[in-house]
Amino acid sequence: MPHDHSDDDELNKPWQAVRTEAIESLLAEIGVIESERVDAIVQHYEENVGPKTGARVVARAWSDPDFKERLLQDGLAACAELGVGGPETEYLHVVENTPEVHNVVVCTLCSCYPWPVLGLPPAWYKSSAYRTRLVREPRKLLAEMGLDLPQSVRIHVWDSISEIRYLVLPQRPAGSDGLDEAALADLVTRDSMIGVATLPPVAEASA
Amino acid sequence: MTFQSSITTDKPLCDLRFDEPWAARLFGVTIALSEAGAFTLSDFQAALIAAVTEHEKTAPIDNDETYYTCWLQALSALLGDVGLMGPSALSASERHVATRLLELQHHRHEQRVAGEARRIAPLVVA
Repeated sequence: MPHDHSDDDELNKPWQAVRTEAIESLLAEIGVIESERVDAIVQHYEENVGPKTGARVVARAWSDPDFKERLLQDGLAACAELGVGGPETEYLHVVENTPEVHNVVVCTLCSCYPWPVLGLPPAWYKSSAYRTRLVREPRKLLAEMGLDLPQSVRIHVWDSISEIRYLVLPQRPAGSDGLDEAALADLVTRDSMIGVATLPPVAEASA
Repeated sequence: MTFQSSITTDKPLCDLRFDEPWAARLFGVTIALSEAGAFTLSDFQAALIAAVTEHEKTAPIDNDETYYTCWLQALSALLGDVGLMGPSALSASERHVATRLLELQHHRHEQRVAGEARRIAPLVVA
């Protein structure tokens, strides 16, 4: 049993669980897939892949200008240097935040997301509200999500349509000058790499 | 209603699990199928876009359950399109799973009844 749940859960399955099990068991029976492989994929995405991977990429870009240049040129190739990659992204375009331009990522049609660097998308990223409102009123929506950008900052909304996935390179937080790459990676949040948040200055005490 | 009050944002970086076990299986089965060459992820993406578009004609997607339900509909349709599992094969397999669940339920019930019979105590004390 790949997931722990109680006997009662097992008996009162929603129809989606029944259908998913029906698909998996039939496909396993005819030898198209193996349940062990499904276990491994789920475990990989739940445990190994996540925004910490993206944070490592961002921290390297902050610390190594040459790497940053390569990352902005060809995101996937630069990520591969760090051993980061995955089967489902053909092109990763990294967009850099500056004092003048703030980037934010959406997928208007479904939920395209840079899985290899950020893991599984959060629920709100897939919601109709986020997908429509970020296009219609980005500044207002970002403010509601806690990111009040000055009018002087231009907002670029990137639509992860087709095979292109986007990753935001957030601005390096003020006060992080003395930090090494590992400490820098700890500052990076998932939301900052989607572009719905910026990174606060580092407090003196924690630097 | 503001966006924040309608949807929960940020989780801790390490806390990335599927809320529902079936959503996790569904995700894993889809990736495994693409690895096996049953279809490409672009094919799946197109099917997902169609399912999401269809759903959003009547209701918004505002939680993971709805989203992965669209995913499930997309996968069901795609399996039919590529000739791996038509609607009748899928229903047959669903009935099989449902029957197994019922049997399990029945078995548990009998166990419980048997257990209760062994308990020597009055059913009602008035």
